Amino acid sequence: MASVGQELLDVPLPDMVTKLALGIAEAQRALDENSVETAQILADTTIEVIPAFTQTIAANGTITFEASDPVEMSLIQVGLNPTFYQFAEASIEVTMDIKTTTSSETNIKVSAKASVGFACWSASVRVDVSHNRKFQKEVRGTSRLFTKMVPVPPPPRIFPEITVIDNRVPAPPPGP
Amino acid sequence: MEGRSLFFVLGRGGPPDAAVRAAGGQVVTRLADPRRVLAVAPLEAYGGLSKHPAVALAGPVSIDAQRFGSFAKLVGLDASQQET
Repeated sequence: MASVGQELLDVPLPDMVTKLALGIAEAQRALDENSVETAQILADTTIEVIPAFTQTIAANGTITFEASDPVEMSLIQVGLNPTFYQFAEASIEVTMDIKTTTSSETNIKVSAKASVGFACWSASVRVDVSHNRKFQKEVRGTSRLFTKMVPVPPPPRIFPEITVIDNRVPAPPPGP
Repeated sequence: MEGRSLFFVLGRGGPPDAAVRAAGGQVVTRLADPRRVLAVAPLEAYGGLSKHPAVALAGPVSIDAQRFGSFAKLVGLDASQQET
C-alpha cells in the first residue's frame, strides 16, 4: 500500500501548472485579439458632430440659429478606448484527504473428541484457524484554480496621436 | 472579475438589446447604426455576452479622459464653455 507521502508526491502538479499556464496564455491571446478587434470597430464607427452653433439675435428680437457643417468623428477620436485585461495572478490549490485503515481478525476454533470402547480408544483434536487482514484506503482530492485579471493601459502605439486645430473665429464680446 | 464595465456591443443582424439584457446589462447609448450600442454590464458577463449568438462582437471599453475632454471642448460641452 502506498504511503501518504507517496500519494502526495503522485499529485500531477507539474502537469496542472503546465495546463494552467497554457490555458492562461490561450485566454490572454483571445482577450488581446478581442480588444484589438474592438479597437478596429471603434475606429470604424463614426458619429456626426456639429462643432459650432451660431445664435444671432436680430435687432427686432428674433433669434436664428446656424449650425456649422457636421464633421465625422470616430469613437476613438471621441475618447472611447478598448480596455485591455491582463492576468495578474494565478494560483492552484490542491486539497487531499487520505484515509487508511488496517484491520486484522483471527479466529481459532478447537474441538476435541474422544471415545473409549472395549479394548480400544480413540481421540481426535481438530483445530481451525482463520486469519483475515483487511486494508482499506480512501483518497479524495480536489483542486481549485484561481486567476485574477486587471485592466492595463492599451499599448502606447495602438492609437494615433490626435491633434485638434480649432480655427473657429472667437465670438465677439457681448455688447454693453 | 468584479464590478460593472462599459461594453461596445455589435449585434449580429440586428440590435443586440436582448442579448445585453440577458447578460444582466443595460444599453446606455445607441449609435446611428442600430446594431452598435454602448452598454453597461457586469464584468462576469463578458464571456457570455461575447459568445451570445446575437452578438458579433462585445468588447470592454473605457473613456479616455483627456481625449474625451478635447472632444467635449470641441463641441462646447465643457464647463468653461458653459460659463462664457
